[in-house]
Amino acid sequence: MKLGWRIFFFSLAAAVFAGISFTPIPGLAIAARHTLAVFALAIILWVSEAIPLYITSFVIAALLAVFVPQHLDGVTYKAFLAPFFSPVILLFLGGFVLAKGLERYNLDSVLASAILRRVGKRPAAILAGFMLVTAILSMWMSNTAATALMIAVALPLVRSMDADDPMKIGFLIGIPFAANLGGMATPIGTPPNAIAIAALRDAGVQINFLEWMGLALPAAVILLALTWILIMVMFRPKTAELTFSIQKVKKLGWREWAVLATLLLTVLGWLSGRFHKIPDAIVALAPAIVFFSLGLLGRKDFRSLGWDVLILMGGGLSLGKAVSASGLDVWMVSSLGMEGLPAVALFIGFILLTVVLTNFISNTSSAALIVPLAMGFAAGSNNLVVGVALAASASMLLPVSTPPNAIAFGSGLLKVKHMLRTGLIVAVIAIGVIFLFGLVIWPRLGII
Amino acid sequence: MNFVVRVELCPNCDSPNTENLVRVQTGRPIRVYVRCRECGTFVARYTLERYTSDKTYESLLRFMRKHGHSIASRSRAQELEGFSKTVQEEFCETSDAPKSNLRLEEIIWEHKHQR
Repeated sequence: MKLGWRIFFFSLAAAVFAGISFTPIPGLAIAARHTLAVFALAIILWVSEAIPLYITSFVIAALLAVFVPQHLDGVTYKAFLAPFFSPVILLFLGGFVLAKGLERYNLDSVLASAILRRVGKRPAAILAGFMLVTAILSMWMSNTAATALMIAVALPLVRSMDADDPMKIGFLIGIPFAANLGGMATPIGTPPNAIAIAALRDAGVQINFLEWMGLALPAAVILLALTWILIMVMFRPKTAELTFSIQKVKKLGWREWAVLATLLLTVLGWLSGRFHKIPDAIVALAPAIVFFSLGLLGRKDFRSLGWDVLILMGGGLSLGKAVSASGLDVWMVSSLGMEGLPAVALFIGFILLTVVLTNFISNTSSAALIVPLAMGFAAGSNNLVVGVALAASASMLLPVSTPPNAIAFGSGLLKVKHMLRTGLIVAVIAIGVIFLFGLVIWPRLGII
Repeated sequence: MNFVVRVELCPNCDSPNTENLVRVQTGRPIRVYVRCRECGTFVARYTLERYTSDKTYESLLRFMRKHGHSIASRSRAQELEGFSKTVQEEFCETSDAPKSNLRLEEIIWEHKHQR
């Protein structure tokens, strides 16, 4: 974005903030009014990306810390800084360290190779292999890194195919979509999940690692299967068999085994939380302690962890905290006249709003903006908040919708129309599956 | 023009005929040792922050796998869209630019100082 536009959007955000902050609104307390002003500023800055997204988080925290506490009893500025080191941030940090270990010792490639060497020669099986590996990786590492690895693996095959074979497009679209969908399945798969978990925790609803997977994994698996079928139908392969070779991986040394063992033990620790009672965030420290103590990762690796993502999430959590503490959520619900709306209508409205927004702005920003509102409306319907988190990952329409899409588009082999047409159908399917789980399956099973 | 281009010369025989010896070692940054092809003298050493080959997209994929924590989809899309073009344009610009006679240390020092 050009400097002129950056200055324009930043000035606009500042003006909107000042306008709302210093204009009395009937029925709205001062603290809630300041929070509303910060919320409006966050929308403008996160949508426009006029300044880096994570810097917007600092702006949010600073404004909340300065303007809100003096109008709220028993709340100090620390309440808006604490979310930057909350348990979900630690959980995510642990996930980043695990992913760094996997990448540093090429274990992501080992996994890809181990699965893809067994998929055979049929295009349908190869696509399934690509999508499965991408989804599994994106459950534990960033969607972007998983896509970058898998596109690099798929590229030689795609380039060797006939120029007019539609399946080329299918492979390149299947990988980013699988990354987006795989990210839904675990709390550390993508930041929106962690934002939802943190918001629910603040409201007294604890969802641990295993419980999240119980909610989201089945939905992600169904979506993956439906997306695979859709791609096979839309990009019907021209040939019955493809020659696909993947490099043999070299033997694993003690370092690789140590990383793998730590990964397995950490995941086991997360999944067995209800037995040992150690919080997920504390279990997440294990890989950091092991990797850096044994010298498996170094200071440079530590510096290159996704600190910007953590800060962005921290800003979202801080904003959410202010929305509930100031009573802005209650005011919004009553002033929008939505108190009497049936839960189903609210669920549908929020999911649609999230899917639209997430296709134009960052998934994390979408969740950071919508989850606090959903919390206000949720009042006993926590499935709405989980549904919003999953919907934030349904960014399939455009190359700019999410970094995995951008990576696949960067190959130069895709056109926007390919992504738009397929992505639109996948987004509609995702909405349907989220409705099904949020309105029927989760409530019936009583798991949320 | 806000950049300076210098053709590396051998400090011993002034020859511009040099070769790059790329050293890749696990756990350490990639280093390039520049050696004179005429007399074998050590000319310079570079430490790579990021490597980009003629296959720019593949290079970018490797970088993104390593630094995969990406949140700003729009800026990443712009980076991807313009990356190959930027590399190619900068290569042509660098090739065509007049070459400085200053020593590389002096150029680096001047540019740091200007910042």
